[in-house]
Amino acid sequence: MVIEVWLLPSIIALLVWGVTGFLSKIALRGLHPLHLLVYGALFFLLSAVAVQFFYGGLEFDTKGIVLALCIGAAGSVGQLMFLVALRDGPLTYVSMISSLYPLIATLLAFFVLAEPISLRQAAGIALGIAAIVLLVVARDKQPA
Amino acid sequence: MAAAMPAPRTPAWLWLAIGALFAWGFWAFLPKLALQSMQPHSVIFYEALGNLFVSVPVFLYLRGRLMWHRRSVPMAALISVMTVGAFLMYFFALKSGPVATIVTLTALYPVVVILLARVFLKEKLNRLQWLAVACAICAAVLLAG
Repeated sequence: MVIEVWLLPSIIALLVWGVTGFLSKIALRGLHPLHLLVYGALFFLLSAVAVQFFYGGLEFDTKGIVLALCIGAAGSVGQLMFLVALRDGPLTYVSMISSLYPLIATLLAFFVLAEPISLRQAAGIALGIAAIVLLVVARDKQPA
Repeated sequence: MAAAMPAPRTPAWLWLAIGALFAWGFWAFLPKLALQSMQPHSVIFYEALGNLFVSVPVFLYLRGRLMWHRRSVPMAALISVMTVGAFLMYFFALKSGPVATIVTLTALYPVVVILLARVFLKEKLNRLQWLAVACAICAAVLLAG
């Protein structure tokens, strides 16, 4: 069986994001979400600077820089919109709608990069999205 | 003659949730393009600068005052260090792998959160959550194959 090179880093990212999601739950006991957002951005920048020391410095490519700035802005805008939507909207619907973002990324990959999707991948993506929707619905039914 | 009923207005939260959906969709997809011309460590630095487009206005909205909490603030630092590590892994994966598969696989991280909350916070899982965990495992197996 051939294991693809992208699989291990993806699983590590999945597990680490799981742990950070869990830690955020605990951190939010003492901090307001907007304060956590600002602290997160500050510490994220410091950590990103520290990473440069291990890789021998930054690269400069205008297209890459603009795209990477957009990644940071899009991530933070999404987080802010999510938090503001949660203030007035029902947790279930807000979470369910916004957590379907893999669908948007999949469509972008298909139309922009012409990335093919096999039947097996399509089934995996559909099940993954079903899992995300179920998690959001289940959270609403969680006893207080 | 009865007055025409006004059309129901779409609530603001719905537009915001849809906005978050698209913002995160681009957030997940754009690294694939950025990684065509730069290495993951550079992308992560500029991404961190991009975060400031939102966090600086939020900081100003908070009138430049941040709450201090003895345990939560150091935890925020730890979360950020780990998030940078996770992003590096995500970028390494995206450099060589398919976007749709990797984004969907990594978006399943709430399952890990639920399992950790079950083990460490003794939170109970309902039937739907167990079903979601089963779906996520099946999805991961299909995507990994």
